[in-house]
Amino acid sequence: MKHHDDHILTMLELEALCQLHKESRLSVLEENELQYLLSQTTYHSPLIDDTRQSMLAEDLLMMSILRNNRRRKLNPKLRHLHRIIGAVASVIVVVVMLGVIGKIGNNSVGYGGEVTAYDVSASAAASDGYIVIAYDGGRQLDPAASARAVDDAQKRADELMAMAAAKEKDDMLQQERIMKLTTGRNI
Amino acid sequence: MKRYIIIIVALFISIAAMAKPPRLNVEKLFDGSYNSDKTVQIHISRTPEKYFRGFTVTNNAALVKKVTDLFKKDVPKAEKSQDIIENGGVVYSSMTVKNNDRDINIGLSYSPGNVCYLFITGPNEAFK
Repeated sequence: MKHHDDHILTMLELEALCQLHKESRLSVLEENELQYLLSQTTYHSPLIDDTRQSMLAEDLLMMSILRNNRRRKLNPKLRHLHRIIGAVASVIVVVVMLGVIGKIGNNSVGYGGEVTAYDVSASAAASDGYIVIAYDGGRQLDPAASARAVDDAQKRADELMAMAAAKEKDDMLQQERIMKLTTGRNI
Repeated sequence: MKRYIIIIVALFISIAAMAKPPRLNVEKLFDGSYNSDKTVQIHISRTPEKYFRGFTVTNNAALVKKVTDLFKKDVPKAEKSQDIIENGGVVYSSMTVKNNDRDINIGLSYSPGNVCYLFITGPNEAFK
């Protein structure tokens, strides 16, 4: 193998090669040769130094790419494990969500909730599952008192709803009157 | 993988949201925690046709405020709502919440002396 040293290539010739490299006019083989030459020579000039640095940077980049490729080639061994972990994780998420949804459902408030219920024994329709419960002053009332209290409460509610319905009807009639007056004036 | 997990989670949340009836904030008053409260009267009645609940507060300003706040939180769910104002103050508020094509009527009335009365009533099907 020919030994390259400062005596074979002049600085001008090396610079010419560096210029060709900059213009991307060297083949791959020629570039490899140039790289070798630059590592073996001690010539320095802005062009030569610049080329030396850029070739070094390209080298480092290539090494990094090769390293990454090597890493990817290793992954197939872990790929199966990754799939298993992903599947297990998704199942866990689904189970947790089901648990949360179930808890939300069980924490429902109202609809009979946690209030103790008992049938009204005094009612003729007790067997049909009528439920009446009443609490007053911190204690639960007996069936008869509960039935009376609930009855009163329902009557009050009905009166309030009737009052609201009547008010709504009044408001609507008032609006119609105003609209009739307004349209009458516009004509 | 992340995308599929997010899709599955979103699917479950939407199914859950569709499957559950509207949970009204005012129903928290009937979870049993006020059964022993001396300032409260609770009335619950369920017949084959109707489900009724009433909650009366007497001389408990803090609880009246809580009931009002719970009522206001449910107003956005209502199909319609109404306030009756007399002498510069609200005396009665009501709203109708629709579920399963049936109406749940909720009313809240105020009386002097820090007294308020809340009721929730409707057919049983409206609460399913």
